[in-house]
Amino acid sequence: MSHHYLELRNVGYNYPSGARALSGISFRIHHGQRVALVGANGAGKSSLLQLLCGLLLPTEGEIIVGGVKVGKRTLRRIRQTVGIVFQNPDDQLIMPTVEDEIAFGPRNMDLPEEEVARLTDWALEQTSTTHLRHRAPYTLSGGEKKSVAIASVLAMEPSVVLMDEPSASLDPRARRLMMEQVERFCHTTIIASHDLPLVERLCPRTLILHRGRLVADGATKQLLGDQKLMEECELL
Amino acid sequence: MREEISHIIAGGADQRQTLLGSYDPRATAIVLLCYLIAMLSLPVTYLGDLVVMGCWVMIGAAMGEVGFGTIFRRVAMILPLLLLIGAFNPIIDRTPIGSIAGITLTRGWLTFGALLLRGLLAVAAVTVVTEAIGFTALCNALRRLGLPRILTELLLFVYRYLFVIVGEAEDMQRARLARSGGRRGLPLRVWAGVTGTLLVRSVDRAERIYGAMLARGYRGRMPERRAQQRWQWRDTLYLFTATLLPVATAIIKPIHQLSV
Repeated sequence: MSHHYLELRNVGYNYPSGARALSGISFRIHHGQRVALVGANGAGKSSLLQLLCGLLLPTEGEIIVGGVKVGKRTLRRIRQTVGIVFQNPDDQLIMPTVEDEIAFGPRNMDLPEEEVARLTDWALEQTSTTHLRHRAPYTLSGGEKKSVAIASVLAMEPSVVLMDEPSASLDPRARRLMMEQVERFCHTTIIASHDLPLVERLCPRTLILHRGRLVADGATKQLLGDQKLMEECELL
Repeated sequence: MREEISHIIAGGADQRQTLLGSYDPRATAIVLLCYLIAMLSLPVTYLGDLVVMGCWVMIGAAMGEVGFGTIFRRVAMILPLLLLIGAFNPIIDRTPIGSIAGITLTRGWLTFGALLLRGLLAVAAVTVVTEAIGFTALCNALRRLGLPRILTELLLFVYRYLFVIVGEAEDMQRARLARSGGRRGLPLRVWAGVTGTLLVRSVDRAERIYGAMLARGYRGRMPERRAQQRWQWRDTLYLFTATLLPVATAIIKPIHQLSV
């Protein structure tokens, strides 16, 4: 297995319509690193996250996660290794109760029911949502839904956690709680966000995407402080 | 509407906290099927016996602690469809069958009433069961009774897609109202475009939901608890009692016998 947990080699992706979404993306991420993926609307952040968890397959290049190349034959393994928290938790929460929601992933992994219960308890505890266990997800507030969505991914014990706009539509308190949860992660984490203060607090490293290309990769403070770069990438 | 459908999907969260919910869902599924068959097998003119069938729904509602407000709301959702289906009966069949307070009652009106009542009773019975045990538990029970898994999965997905489409329709309606300037309704020519947009939006949303399911290991079958409820003697007793009553009503037709 590579010492780089996640590696992209010249990855490109075209939408089914033929439009170019991403091209020539190459980077490596080590175990346990927390990396921000920053870019203006339409820069390709969400497409890149979907490529990393195997929801989309690259039309060029290759993605390697924990030594396994992302492809049709390895999808099941990749989806157990890489968890994704979507921007809108309503797209993610589908089960009748929070408990069933969190157990959805572990049950899909065919784990014994005792193990499912252990993982569910653990994920609820990690996200401080134990009190919501028997509630129906649609009755929760935006912040609570986000926490449950995070718990539902953590319950699968992924090595890599991807988060798409994690602070979108959260109030200041829910945003702060979400950030505290992420700070406790020991996983390799990639956060796609426009929320630059969040990126600065959570991620020591930042990748900047502009019009489907990776234009910068470096220390967050240094990149976010580069006025010219930020303006060129339509982030200011 | 979205809240209502979300509630239907989430029904069963409190499973086994009520008397009806405490029985094996398979027994309740069989009772529901027997009730629907017995009720629908009554001749259309036996309105009195249909009313007796309504009593069994009320007993079920009491056992499942389902409020009549909930039943009425669900029934109200299906009422326009039933009215549309039966609206032509009084026009087509004008055979007089009697008179009430000087007003001639035609066979068309009678069949219209029977159709309405049957539809409402069927929806009320399904509402009581889905409220008491949950739609997911009902589908799982049907699967455990031998209904092919593909059908139960399809039922669950249709149910969830209904939620998605209603949610998108509500969002669009809200957006329209916000910019309608107080104008009610939409011009007819706009409807086609709006319907198309609704379909595209709901398909798009359904794809996002499906993507989120795939990301959590979904492989074409909804996971369920492996520790299933075991059939007990009280389930057998409940099954026989609860099935016998509507079936006996359908066979004996007590009100019709009385009137004859």
